[in-house]
Order: sequence, then C-alpha cells, then structure tokens
Amino acid sequence: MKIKMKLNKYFLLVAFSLVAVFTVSAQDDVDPRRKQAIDSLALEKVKDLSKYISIIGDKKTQFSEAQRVMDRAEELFADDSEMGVSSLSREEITYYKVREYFERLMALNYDKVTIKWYDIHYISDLEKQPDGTYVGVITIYQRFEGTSDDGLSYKDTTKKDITIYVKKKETQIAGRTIEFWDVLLGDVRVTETSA
Amino acid sequence: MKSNKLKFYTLNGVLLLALVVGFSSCKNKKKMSDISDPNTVGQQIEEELEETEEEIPEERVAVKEPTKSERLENYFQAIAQASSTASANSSISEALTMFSNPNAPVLIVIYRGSGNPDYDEPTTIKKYLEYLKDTKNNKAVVEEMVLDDYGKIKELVLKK
Repeated sequence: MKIKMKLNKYFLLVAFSLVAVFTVSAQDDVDPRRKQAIDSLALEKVKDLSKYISIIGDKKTQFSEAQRVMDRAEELFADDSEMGVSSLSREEITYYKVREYFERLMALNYDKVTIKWYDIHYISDLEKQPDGTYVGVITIYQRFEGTSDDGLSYKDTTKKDITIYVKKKETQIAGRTIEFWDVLLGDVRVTETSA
Repeated sequence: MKSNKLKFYTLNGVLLLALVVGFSSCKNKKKMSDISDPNTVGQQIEEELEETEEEIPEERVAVKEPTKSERLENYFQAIAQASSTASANSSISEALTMFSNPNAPVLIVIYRGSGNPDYDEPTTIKKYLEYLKDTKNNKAVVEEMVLDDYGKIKELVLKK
C-alpha cells in the first residue's frame, strides 16, 4: 500500500514537471503566423529604406525634403550602424556611419542619380537569441547610375547584406501599455560589386 | 327749369354708374372665365408640376456620405498616389484637419492572434502620412478611431 502511494506521488511529480516544461516551451515558440508577420515587417523596413535612399539620392528632391527623409531613414537603424560603399575603380570597401552615408549620397557630383534596390530577401532567417532579440540577415541588390551633363557617367551593381534585429518592446499610449515589435537595421555590408 | 336741370344731372349720374358697373362686370367675367376654365386650370397645374419635377431631381438622388474612415482612407490613397510632392503635401494638410493634432498616435496591427494584437512601432499621424508620401506603401486600413469631444480623431488603429 505504501509503495503504491509512493509510486502515485512520483507519477504526479513527473506529470507536473512535464506540463511545466511544455508550458515554458510553448511560451518560447512563436506562433508560425505571428513569426511570418514579424518576418514581413522586417522585410518591409528594408524596402522602406530603399525608397528613402532613392529620394535622398534623387537630384530633384528639395533640400528640406531630403533632410526630413534622412531623419526617417536614420530612425530605421540601430545606433552606430555603418553602411559599406564600394567602387569598380578600387578594391577596398569604405564604411560610413549611416547619417554620413546619406549626406555623401545627397552631395554626389552628378546631375542625375538613380538608385534601385531589387531582389530583397532573407539569406538568414530571424532566429531568437538568448536575450530575446531575433536576429537575421536580408540581402539586397543595388543598381546605381550617376550621370553628368558633361558626359561623366558611373554605373554599378552591388550586393549588400543587412543585419536585422527584432525585439519586443513596450511603450505608453494614452495611459495604456502597448507591446510592439521594434525592428532595427544594423550594418550594411557590401559582398559583391559588378558593372 | 330747376327741376329739368336736376333730372339731367340724375340721368347723367345713372348712366355713368351703369357704365362703370358694366365695365367692371366685363373685366370680372374675363377673369372668372380665365380661372374657371377646367381645361386651362388642369393644364396649368400639370405644367407647374412638371416644372417642379424638373427642378429637383438632384435633391431626390440618394448620395451616400462617405464615413470618417472612408474619407481618411481616401486621403491615404491620394497621398500614396500623388503625382507630385506638392500634391501629396496638400492632401496631407487636408487629412490632418481630421485629427485633434498632428501628433495623434497611430498604432499599426501586424498580426491578430488569439491573445493581444502584435503592433509595429507606434508612430504619429503626421509621420504616417509622410511615410505614405515617401514609400507609396498604402497597405493598412482603418480598424479603429478614437474621437475627441469635437469629433476629431485623437487615436488611430490601422491593420495591415
């Protein structure tokens, strides 16, 4: 009788432990549809950046508009993030803080500049890190064309990898606590440059 | 002699009175005939009714007033599809009049599961309208609006 009671006790203990483990595991896993929404959100931020870069580089954009768009574009990045710049005429890649990159882009000595990003996709899915941040890498291809009225012209295509950080954060809106997914872009590294 | 003169004046007076009565009677008869002719009256009524019907057709057409959210979504579309920066800015200024202030918070739901909704980073209406102008990315629809005492939007929830 005593042995039976002890066995029951152990059975209950094991059962409770299993339930606890499954509960923690379930909390840790994100619903696949939610994960898909977060993936799309991060991808959308990169597409937004591509639009901002086109506007900043466009010589027809007014100075005040370019400054405002630079502010919006800078907000997409984590602090101290850098942007890689390459050229067909040199081997090395130069890295600039994003704000400096935008200002150099706006000041390029061409009469017409067009920048288009395409084939934007994940090369490394968002993975949860021990601190709760999701980290992934998105690749883009950038077509740059700069032409001057005096005939000067430069064109290239670069492949760039952008590190993405996604973390759940909280903020107060009208006295309520709102949880949101904060997407930040990290360094943009040049991996290929071609004509 | 005196009685003859009196008779003459009396006769003149009677004749004058008869003329006045006769004339006014003719005029009234004409007026009466104008009004009392049933064919003419019917025709006049029909003409008046036709004129009235021709004047008010626009008032009778039921025009559906766009709701506040439809008006706002129309502005979103106009800003995202604007052909120039000036045109987009003009639509932004008009859209902002629907809000209590340009810093009214905007929440964007990216996913709604069984629990609390998942949001993108909250923004303000001014920044959101400028986002539409810059990116042309108009995927979000109005899900909820919180109005102030003056009927202006003080908080907006969108859904992607």
